[in-house]
Amino acid sequence: MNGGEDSRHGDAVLDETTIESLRELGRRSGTDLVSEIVELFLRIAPERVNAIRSGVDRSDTDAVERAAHALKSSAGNLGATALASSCALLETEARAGHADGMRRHFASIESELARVVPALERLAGRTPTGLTHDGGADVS
Amino acid sequence: MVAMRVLIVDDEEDVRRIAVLSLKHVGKMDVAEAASASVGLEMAIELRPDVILLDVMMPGMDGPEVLARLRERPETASIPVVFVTAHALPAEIEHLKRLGAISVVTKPFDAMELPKLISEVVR
Repeated sequence: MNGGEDSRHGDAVLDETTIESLRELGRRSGTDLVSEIVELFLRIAPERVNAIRSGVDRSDTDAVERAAHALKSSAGNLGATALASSCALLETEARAGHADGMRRHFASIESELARVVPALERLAGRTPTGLTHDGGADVS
Repeated sequence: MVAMRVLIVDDEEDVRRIAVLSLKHVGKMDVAEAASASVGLEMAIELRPDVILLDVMMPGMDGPEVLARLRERPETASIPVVFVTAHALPAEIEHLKRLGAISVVTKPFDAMELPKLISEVVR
């Protein structure tokens, strides 16, 4: 794995402590846990991003709140703290019923994903391709 | 020493995977998992675990409702419940404790520290 450069610096995309905990748990359990959780993220994130986009378009605050909450959790598991924070802000705006705020924070999520996804792909030893299936973060 | 038996109820696959491996391999606990509230309730009745890690926000039935249903049944009424939530605001955590949870773990949790958090509140 070669995620060091994504998680070593002050403006790290991924929190190194979180990744190291996953690595250690992977060693203890005899699994490649980091790659496994990354693959799960890359599989699940497009659905969640699409659910957020669709909810924002329809001003469906409940749908946006649920999808943002789920994406926040997945991002947090991998130490993508800035992405998780953007999701938390979106979740708060959705709960408050603020449609304009939802649009603004969704834009931040899309730009964060454009940084996070390639970093995760490198971490898992994949060739960076960005999210697929219209996941909103095609960074290729 | 008999291993602590833990039931994890969480609809998020990544959270379950990390929690299961952590409790099994770091905590040496006996772990079962459910991906939905309804399956979790059935498993709680069947397994009578020592503690249940219960996600707060799940589709269909949320964590507080699951806890209320557990408390209604004599066979599950006294099983300790630890809520797991991504809402880390102090007021929210206090609210969850008042509902009857013995503790609240906030997500994301440290993959290596979870067993310690659970052991501390259950024994």
